[in-house]
Amino acid sequence: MNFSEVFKLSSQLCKFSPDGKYLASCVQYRLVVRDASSLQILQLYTCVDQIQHVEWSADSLFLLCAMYKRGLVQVWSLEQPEWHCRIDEGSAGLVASCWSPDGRHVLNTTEFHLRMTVWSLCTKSVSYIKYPKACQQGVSFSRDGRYLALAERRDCKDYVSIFVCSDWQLLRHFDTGTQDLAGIEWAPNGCVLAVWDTCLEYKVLLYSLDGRLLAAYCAYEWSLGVKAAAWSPSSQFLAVGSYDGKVRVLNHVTWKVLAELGHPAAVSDSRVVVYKEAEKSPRGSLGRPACPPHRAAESRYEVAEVPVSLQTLKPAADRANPKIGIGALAFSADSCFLATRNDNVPNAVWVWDVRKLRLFVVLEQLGPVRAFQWDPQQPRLAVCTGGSKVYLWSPAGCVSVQVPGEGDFQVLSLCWHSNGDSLALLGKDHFCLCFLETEDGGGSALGPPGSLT
Amino acid sequence: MGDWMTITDPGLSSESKNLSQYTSETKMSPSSLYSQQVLCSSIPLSKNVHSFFSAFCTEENIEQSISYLDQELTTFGFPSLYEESKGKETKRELNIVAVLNCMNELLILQRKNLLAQENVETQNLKLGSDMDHLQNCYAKLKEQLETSRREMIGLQERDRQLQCKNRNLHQLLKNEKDEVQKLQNIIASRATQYNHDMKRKEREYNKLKERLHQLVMNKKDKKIAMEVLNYVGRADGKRGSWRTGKSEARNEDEMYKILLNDYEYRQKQILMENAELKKVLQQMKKEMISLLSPQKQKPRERADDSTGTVISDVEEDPGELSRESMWDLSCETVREQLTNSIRKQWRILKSHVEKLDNQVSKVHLEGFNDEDVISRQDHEEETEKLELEIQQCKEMIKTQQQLLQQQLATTCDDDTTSLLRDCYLLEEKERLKEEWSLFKEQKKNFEKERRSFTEAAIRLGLERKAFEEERASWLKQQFLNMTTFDHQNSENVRLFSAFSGSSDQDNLTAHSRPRQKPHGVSNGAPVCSSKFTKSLPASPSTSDFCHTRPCVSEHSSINVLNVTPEEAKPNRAGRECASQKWSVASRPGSQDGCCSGCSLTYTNSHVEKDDLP
Repeated sequence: MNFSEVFKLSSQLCKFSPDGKYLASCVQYRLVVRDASSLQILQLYTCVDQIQHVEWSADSLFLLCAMYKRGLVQVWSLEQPEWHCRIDEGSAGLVASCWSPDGRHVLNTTEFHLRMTVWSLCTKSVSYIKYPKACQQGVSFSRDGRYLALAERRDCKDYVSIFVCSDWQLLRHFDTGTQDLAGIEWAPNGCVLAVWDTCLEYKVLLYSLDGRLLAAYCAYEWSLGVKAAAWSPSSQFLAVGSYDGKVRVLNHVTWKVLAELGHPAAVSDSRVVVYKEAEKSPRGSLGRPACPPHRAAESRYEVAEVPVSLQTLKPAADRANPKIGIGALAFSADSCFLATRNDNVPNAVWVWDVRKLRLFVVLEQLGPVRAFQWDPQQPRLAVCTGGSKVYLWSPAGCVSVQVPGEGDFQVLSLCWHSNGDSLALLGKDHFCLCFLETEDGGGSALGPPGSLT
Repeated sequence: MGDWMTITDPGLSSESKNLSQYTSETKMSPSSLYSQQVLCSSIPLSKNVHSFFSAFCTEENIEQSISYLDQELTTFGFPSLYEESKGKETKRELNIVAVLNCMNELLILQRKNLLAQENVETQNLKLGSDMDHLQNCYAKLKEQLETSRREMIGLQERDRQLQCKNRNLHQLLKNEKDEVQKLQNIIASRATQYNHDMKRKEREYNKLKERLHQLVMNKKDKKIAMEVLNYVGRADGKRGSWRTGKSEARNEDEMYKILLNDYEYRQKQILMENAELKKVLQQMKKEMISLLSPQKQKPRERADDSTGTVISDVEEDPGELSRESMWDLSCETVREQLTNSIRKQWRILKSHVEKLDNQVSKVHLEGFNDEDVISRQDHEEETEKLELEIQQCKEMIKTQQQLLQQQLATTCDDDTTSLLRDCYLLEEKERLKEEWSLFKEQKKNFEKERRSFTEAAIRLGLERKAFEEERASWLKQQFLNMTTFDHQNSENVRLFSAFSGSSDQDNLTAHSRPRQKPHGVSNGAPVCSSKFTKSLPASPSTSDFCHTRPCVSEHSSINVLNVTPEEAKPNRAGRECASQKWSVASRPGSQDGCCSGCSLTYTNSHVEKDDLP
């Protein structure tokens, strides 16, 4: 495992291009495009203000930089550095900006969600979509880029509009039976749209592409409901995490619950492996030169004896958005594993075996888990806790890796390269790349089972 | 009783005699003490009477007393004591016969009375005890009643409390339920209110938004614009198309196409899955048939109910199997056939397996039981035996230890006890161990020596035999030479010779035994026993030798020898040896001395042996 040198970064804006060739990062008002493997600077663009959002177009040819404070979007071309485009939303303001899947349209949401503007880079045409709903996840493009599902709010009722992305024609428009729609998400096959209600009510609705209601699911009433939802890459399962600390897995045939995955703080199943991060005392590494005193102690994983009780957080019941429930969940690329985080057990990541629908591994970290992401190529999970370490789990085992470099590099977020060979570790002001493919060809870290480093 | 006996007048008045008779009777009968006491209390009365009698009648007043008695008796209905008076003037004569009769009758009466009294008393006693018993019973029952009553009260109290608690809990539950209901109502009302408010607010918000929209958007905001250097081509290279009804229809078509594709894909998958499952089913069926068909012969003989169906099934199966293409048609009838036949087969298989299971379990159980019983018995016996052995061994060890301690006590005088305690020090032990090993080595040497010695003894025995024979022959010759010797003489001589031989033997065994036995060297023993029928008991000498060994080895504590208490039987020569060794061994420190002592005994015996013939 190799680490690149540390580069400057602001607002954790660092993105690999979809084709994996480039890496874009923002430093204040500058946009830097590097070669993803050599990290040489290929292009340098200067925006008019501090960049708040950056996004690659799907064909990796254009870059969008949004400056919400100014209500401004600048688009840069990688092929033609001199080409530029500047979209000003004026007094309407700007709160969100994104690419359409074809990479030729920019969708801007104005302040107060008054409307959505679709700017085309090919023609002068501008389209407006009225009444977009201000919600957690109100826009969803299908994986194939054909359709856009948009949550709308009209006359105190929730609607979903499905647009054809090629010409922005409205395909379907239907009202959803939700109290206050919170999120929508296409299934990866683009045929089913999952819609879930606000946290005040547990309600999950599944709509077909043609607007038919396929199923409605409600696990319980009178309590805080859905917190997060995720489709499996195979479109077979929809995992719904809720405030009761459970993940319910729905199947794609009957849309009924396959399994209820509870997240108790006490793990008692003897088949479950609990990896516990333990601090290594500095004198343990006698062979190496003495660590600088300011650097955090190294750590390693220990397999804890079940039953294990995990550290729990007592949530403040009288505050909004309590720290309970399943706040994050993600399927691995092969749909075999599901990683979840229960927000009142902040130090742990649960990894579930989807084939057996039972708990497989629990990683208990020393600090609260900030982010985790699956390798897009193989079942390998990267976790960061805001410390100077990055943690990798695969069915073969678990490692904790200290990020080298002077100073305290705090990994706040991470993102995988599309081929799974490298990993960008994002800190507050810096980022670095972690290359998992070893140069001597000894196999990538935690790659094939058994090659635990 | 005795008191009373002494009190009674030896003058033997008839009454007292009777009484004494009676008392002797009671004395003979094992009567209760109480009755005796009663009797005793009755006795003084009679005594008083007796004394009264003696005072009542004196020499002077015989006449008066007689008349008085007569009067008394006649009033009681007895015949008069006087003879029938012939004349009034004549003095009435005392009729002795009447007196005696009266007396007798009185006595009989007295006896009867006594008997009755006794009966009454015993009855009284019985009744009294009965009464006591009943009273006891009554008291007990009363107590019981009391306790049960108390218990009942306690239980009632508890019941009441529990009921009270239950009521309270019910009340609480009800309250809680009410509370829940209330809260739910509140939640619901709040929710509706919230929704209502939300709607109101949202409407206002929408109005504001609308207004804002009009203000911001319709003012032809110059700022809202896109500056672009030049328009780029579409990703697919096509030109943008107009939005028309046609394009709308096309989009619809496309959407349905996508949906159709998805459904087709899923259907294909399901078909594939179905095909797989069907294949599995078919295979299962085939295997079942093949599994069941060989067993069918037997059930048929047994005239099982299911055989008929099975056979018919099997018969129709090949036909089905031949039409394999039918499987691909997911026709309802085919499916039914398949599932039905599978079900049938499965049922048969299940029952068969169950039968087998039962059989197996039965056999298993029986077999297990039999084996179990036997093995357990064996096991128990074995364990018992072993335990016994262990017990014996323990005892042996204990006695051994005791003996060792005794020896220690005897060997070490009071002065040396402290020294002896020191002997238990580890270093000492180590040293003694070394010594012990040395000693062992020497012992081995001795053994070797002994072996050679026994061989020599055998040789000697043989030689002696030869010598004896020679002597016999010489004697014979002599005897023959002296022709005048009669038969008896010759016998005497022979007897004598035999006798002398045996005395020699005694000496020999006495000295050779202690050397041979203790180490279990058997090659010497048979020689002795076979040659000399009159051998001394082996144990004394053995044990004597044993004495010496623990003495030497006590600190190394290696071997535990069984020393029988009969060891004290004196064998003169052996005792000598032992005592000799004893004196040496009592100095545990001096290894050399001990060894020399031992060797001394050996040499001594050797010398004696040499002297023997």
